[in-house]
Amino acid sequence: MSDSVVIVAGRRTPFVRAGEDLREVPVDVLATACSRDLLDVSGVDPSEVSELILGCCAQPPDRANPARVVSLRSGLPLSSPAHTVARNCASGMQAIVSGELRVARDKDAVILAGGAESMSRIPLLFPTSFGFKLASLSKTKTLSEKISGWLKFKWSDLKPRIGLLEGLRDPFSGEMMGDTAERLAREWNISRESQDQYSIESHRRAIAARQDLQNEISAFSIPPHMDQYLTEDIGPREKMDPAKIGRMKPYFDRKMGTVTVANSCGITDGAAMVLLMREERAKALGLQPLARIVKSDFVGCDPLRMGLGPVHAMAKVLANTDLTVADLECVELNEAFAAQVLACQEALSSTSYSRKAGFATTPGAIPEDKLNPEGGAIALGHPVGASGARIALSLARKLHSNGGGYGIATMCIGGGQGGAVLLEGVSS
Amino acid sequence: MSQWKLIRSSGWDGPIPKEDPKGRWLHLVFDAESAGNVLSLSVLEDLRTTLTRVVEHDGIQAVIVSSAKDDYFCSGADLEIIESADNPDDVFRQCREVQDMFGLLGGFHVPSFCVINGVCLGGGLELALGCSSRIVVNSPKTRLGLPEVNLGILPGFGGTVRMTRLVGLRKALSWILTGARMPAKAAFKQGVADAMIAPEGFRQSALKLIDQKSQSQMKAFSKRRQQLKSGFLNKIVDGTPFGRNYVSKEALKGIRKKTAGKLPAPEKALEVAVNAASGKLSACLEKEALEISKLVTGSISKNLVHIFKNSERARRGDVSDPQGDWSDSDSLVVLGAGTMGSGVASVALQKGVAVRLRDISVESLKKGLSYIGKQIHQRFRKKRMSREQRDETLSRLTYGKELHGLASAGCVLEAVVERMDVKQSVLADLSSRLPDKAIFATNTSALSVTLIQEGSPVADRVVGLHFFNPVPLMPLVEVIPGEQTSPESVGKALALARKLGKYPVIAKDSPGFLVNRVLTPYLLAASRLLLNGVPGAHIDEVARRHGLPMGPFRLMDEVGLDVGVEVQQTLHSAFGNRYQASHLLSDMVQRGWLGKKSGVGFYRHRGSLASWNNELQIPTNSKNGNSAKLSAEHIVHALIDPMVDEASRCLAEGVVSDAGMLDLAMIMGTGFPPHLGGLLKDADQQGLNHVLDRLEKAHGAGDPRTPCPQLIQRAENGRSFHEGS
Repeated sequence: MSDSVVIVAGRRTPFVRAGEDLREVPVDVLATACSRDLLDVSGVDPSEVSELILGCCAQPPDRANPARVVSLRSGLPLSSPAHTVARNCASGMQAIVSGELRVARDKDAVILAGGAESMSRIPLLFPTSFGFKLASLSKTKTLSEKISGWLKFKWSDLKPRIGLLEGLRDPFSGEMMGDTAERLAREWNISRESQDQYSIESHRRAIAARQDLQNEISAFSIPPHMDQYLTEDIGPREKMDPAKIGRMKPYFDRKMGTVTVANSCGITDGAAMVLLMREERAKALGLQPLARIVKSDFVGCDPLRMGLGPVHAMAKVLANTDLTVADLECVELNEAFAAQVLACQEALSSTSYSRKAGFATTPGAIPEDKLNPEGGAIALGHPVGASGARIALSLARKLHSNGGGYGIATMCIGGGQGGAVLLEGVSS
Repeated sequence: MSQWKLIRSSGWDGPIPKEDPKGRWLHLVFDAESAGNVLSLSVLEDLRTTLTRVVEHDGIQAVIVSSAKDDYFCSGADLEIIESADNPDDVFRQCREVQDMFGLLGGFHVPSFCVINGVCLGGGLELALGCSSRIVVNSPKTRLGLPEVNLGILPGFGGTVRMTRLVGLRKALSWILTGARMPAKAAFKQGVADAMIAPEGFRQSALKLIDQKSQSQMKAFSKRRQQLKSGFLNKIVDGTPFGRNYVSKEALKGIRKKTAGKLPAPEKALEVAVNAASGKLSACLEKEALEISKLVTGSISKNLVHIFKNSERARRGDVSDPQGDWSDSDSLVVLGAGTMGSGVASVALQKGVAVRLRDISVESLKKGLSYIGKQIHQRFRKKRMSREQRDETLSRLTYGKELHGLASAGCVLEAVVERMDVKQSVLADLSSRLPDKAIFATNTSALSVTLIQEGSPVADRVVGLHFFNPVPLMPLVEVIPGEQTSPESVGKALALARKLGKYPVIAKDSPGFLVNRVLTPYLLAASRLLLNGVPGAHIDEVARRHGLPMGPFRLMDEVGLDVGVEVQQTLHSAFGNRYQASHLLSDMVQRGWLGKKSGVGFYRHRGSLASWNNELQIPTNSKNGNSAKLSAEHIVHALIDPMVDEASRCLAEGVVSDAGMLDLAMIMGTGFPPHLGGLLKDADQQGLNHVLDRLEKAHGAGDPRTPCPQLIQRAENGRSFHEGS
C-alpha cells in the first residue's frame, strides 16, 4: 500500500450553463487553461509530465485528438504522448482510471488526467444522405448530369439533427436519458416532491460550500477578449422557491412525468484535471498528495435503467476491498437526475434488488449527510466529459481536509454502465 | 581566395557543388569571409573578376546564384562603405559600376536563377534583383528587405529602380519606403520572387524547377509577373502617369507625417522610384546613383549608421557583456497586473514565453487581463496572427491572486507599487521559493536595486529591469545590476530583454538610473522657459518641430505630474541644486491636475484632443520680459544643453558604458530624434565649446546648473564625446 497511486492535486474551471458565457470557448481551450493552472498551482514542472489523458464525450470535429492539442498548448514536452478517452458520461472518470493503470505500471509516470466538455459547441449535423449526394455531384461531368444531380436533393436531406440531443439518446431503445429516469421514478415510486426536495437541498449545499469550492476552481478569463473573469460556478441558485419549482412542467413525459428541468442536472461547459503519480514519486518531488486510489471499476447494467449504474459499481468496488458503506466518510454520486439518485438509494438498501443482481451483501443506503455534502450536478451542472474528474477531485479534496478516511466517487453512464473510484484520504 | 566561387557542375548536393567540367549548371556561390555574407568592397571586387569568367563556359543551361552559408544569402552592404563615403563623385561612379555589374547577372546568354535561403537584405536583395529570376526558400529564417531608408539612404545598387520595374510602383514603395523585412511567402506573393520552394532538400527542388523553367526560357515566370501586374487597379495606378502621380502624392503625405520632413531619404527614394516607373533604364539608374551619392555623404546617414551600430550592439550583445541565457522552457512570472506588468506580459506572450500574471487585487488583475486580451486580439484582427496562433498565444497565459507557477519560472518580474517596503516584502515572500535557475527582476524606475536586494538570501539573483511605458511600443530596457548582483543574473536579464525584442542597456544603480536622470533636466528647463514668459504650447511646438515625438509639457502630462514631481524630488535630494524645481509642478499636483490621467494638467484633455490649460496662472518673471521673443533655435538649445551636461556626468560616473550606448538609450527611451545621431553625437557636431558657452550663459541667467568639469575639460581640449569610440 505504501507506493499506491495518488491524486496529488486537481483544478477545474468554473462550470457554466451551456449557451452562456463559455459558448465561444472551444473544449481544448477550457482544458488547457485548467491544465496550465494546475501545473502552476501544484508546482510541477511541465517537463515532468509523462502523458496527458483527456476524457471528452463530444469531440469537436476539428480536433481528432483534443488531448494532444491540450498537451502541446499546456507546454508539456513534445515527447510526452496524449490520448483522448470516451466512456460517455464517465469519460473524465475513465481518464483518471486509465491514468491510474498507467502509473501502476510505471513507477515514475506523472499523468495529467481529467475531462472537458463544451456542450454549447456540439455541432448541428446534416443527414448523411446530404453528404453522399454532394459527393456524387462533385463527380458529375456534363451539364445534364449536374442538373439531375441537383434534382436528387430533397428537403429531408437538409433537416439538421441536433448533436446534443443525439448524444443524450440511448442508441438501443431510442429513449432520452430523461426517459430512463422517469422509468426509475415509476419503478421505485419516487414522488415529484421528494425529487424537488432533493434538488433544492443540492443547491443549498452548493451555495453553502462556495468558499470550499474555491479550493478546486481556477478563475477563468474568457479568451480572446479576456474581459470577463469567472471565479464561480454559474448554476447554484441562492433562492429556490419550492412552490415555483413544484409548478414546473415535466420535461420528458409531459403528461404523467415527474422529471423536470429543475430536478435534473444542467447542460454545462467546463473542464477538470487532476495530477496522478505514485506516492513515492510525489514525495520525491516534494508534493503533498490529497488521496490514494484504492480501487476503481466499471460495470454494465440495463441500458433502460442506466441510472442505477452507481449501485452496481459501488457494490463491486466494496466487495473487492472488504469495506462497507458504513466505512465511507463521503460519497460523491453524480446527480444526473434527482429521481435517479433517490432510486440508487432505494436500490442500495433493497435486499431483493441485491439478491437479483447477485451482490454478496446488501450495501445499504448512503447516510444523507455523507452524500454529496457540497451539492452535486443538479446545482453545479454536468459537462458530461468533465463530471467524472470533478467528483473524483472533490472527493479527494474533502477526504484530505477530513484528515483521511475512505470515500467513493461514482456515476451512472448512458447506455447502461456504472463507474466507481474508491479513494483513501491522505492527511498532511 | 575569391569570395565568389564559379563551379560548373551536373548537380547540387551541398553548399559548394561538386565540380564537373561537362555539367549543365554554372554555380556562382557567394562565400564571403564574414559569417553573414556581408557585401564588402572586396566581395564586389571578387564578383567583378568572377563574372568575367562566366563567358568561358559554353553549353550550360543556366547560371545559379546561391550562398554557401546556412542562414544567410547576404546580410547587406558593409556599413564601412557608408561610413567612409565622403566624396559624392566617387560614390556616384562606384554605384553606377555596381548597378551595371548586378545588371550583368541577368544578361548572360542563359537565364540566371538566384536561390535565396536565409537573410537577404539591402545590397543582397539588389544583387538578387539583378538576376533574371529569384527562387525563395520558405524557411522561417528567410527574410527579404531593403532597409536602406532606415540608414538614411536609398537602395543605390540598382534596387530602387529594378524593384519598381519588377513589381510596379505601389508594391515597390511598400518595400523601399518601410524597409520592412518580409518573409518568403510575402516576397513570392508580391512577385519579388518568381517561385517558392520548401526548405527540406531545397537544392534538389530548385534544380528540378530550374531544369523546367530554363528550357521554356523563363516563359512561365514572366507570364506570372505579367499576371501579377494585370488587373484594373494595377493598370490604372501603376500604368498611367496620372495614377503614379497620385500614388506618389499620397506616399509623400505619409512620409511627411512620419518624419516631419526631417529625413530626406524616403522622399528621395520615392522620387527615384516614381522616375523608375516610366523612364529609360540607364537614366533611371543614373538618377538613383546621383541621389544616393548625395544622401550617403550627408551627416544624417552617418548619424543613423552610428545609431544602428549601437542598436546592434545592444540587441546582439558585446563579448564583454555578462553571459547568461534564457531557455525556451523558462516561463515568466509577473507580479502586479498594472500598466507595466500587463504590458510586459503581453509582449512576452507574443514572443512565445509562458507567463503567469499575479495581482493581489482581482480588480487590477481583471484590468490587466483585459488589456492583454485587447493587445493580442488586435493583432489577430489586423491579420498579424492566425486564429490558432491567437488562441495558442493566449493559452500560454495563466493568472490568479496567489503566488504560483514558480516551478518553471526563469524570471520573476515584480511590477508592484514603487515603495521600498512593498518591494522588499515581495522579495522576502518569494526568496525561499525562487527556483535556482530563476532571477528576480524588479521593474523600478527610481528605487535602488542595491537597497532592494540588501539582506535577501537570493540577493545575487536580484536585478533591476526598467521597462518604459507603454511597454509594447518602447524598445528600451535599462538593466540595473545591484552591488550584489551576479554577472550570470545580469546576463540572464539581458537575454530576457532580448527575447522580448527589446534593446537592453546596462545602467549603474544610481538615482534615476540613466534615462530619467538625463531627461529630467530637459523638463526642468522647459518649466524655466515657461516661467520666463515663453508660451508653453509654443515650447512644445518647437520641440516637436525639432523632431522629438512630443514637447516637454505634453510629455509631463502623459507621464503624470505626480510621477514627475516624485522623480524630480528623488534626483534633487540625490544630486542637489541642479535639480532644483519651482513650485509650479507641485502646486498643480495639489490642485489635482495630474495630467492626462486626471484630464487636466498643462493641457486640458478631451479624448485624443488637448488644448493648453488657460486656467494655469504662471507667475512670470518680470525682468525677463523679452524672453517671449526667443528664437526657436534658442529654445531648443535651452532645452537640450542641460541634458548634455547631465549625460556628461553620467559618463564620468560610469552610469553607462559609453557615449554610443547613451545615445541609443536616449533615442529608444525618449524618442530623441535619431537623425541627429543621439544626444551626444549631436552635441559633438555642434561643438562642445558652443554648448559650454550656452550653459554658462544660462547659469548666469538663473539656471542653478553649472557645467560639470568633465564637459569643461573636454570642450577646452577640443575633444568630442565620440572620439576614439
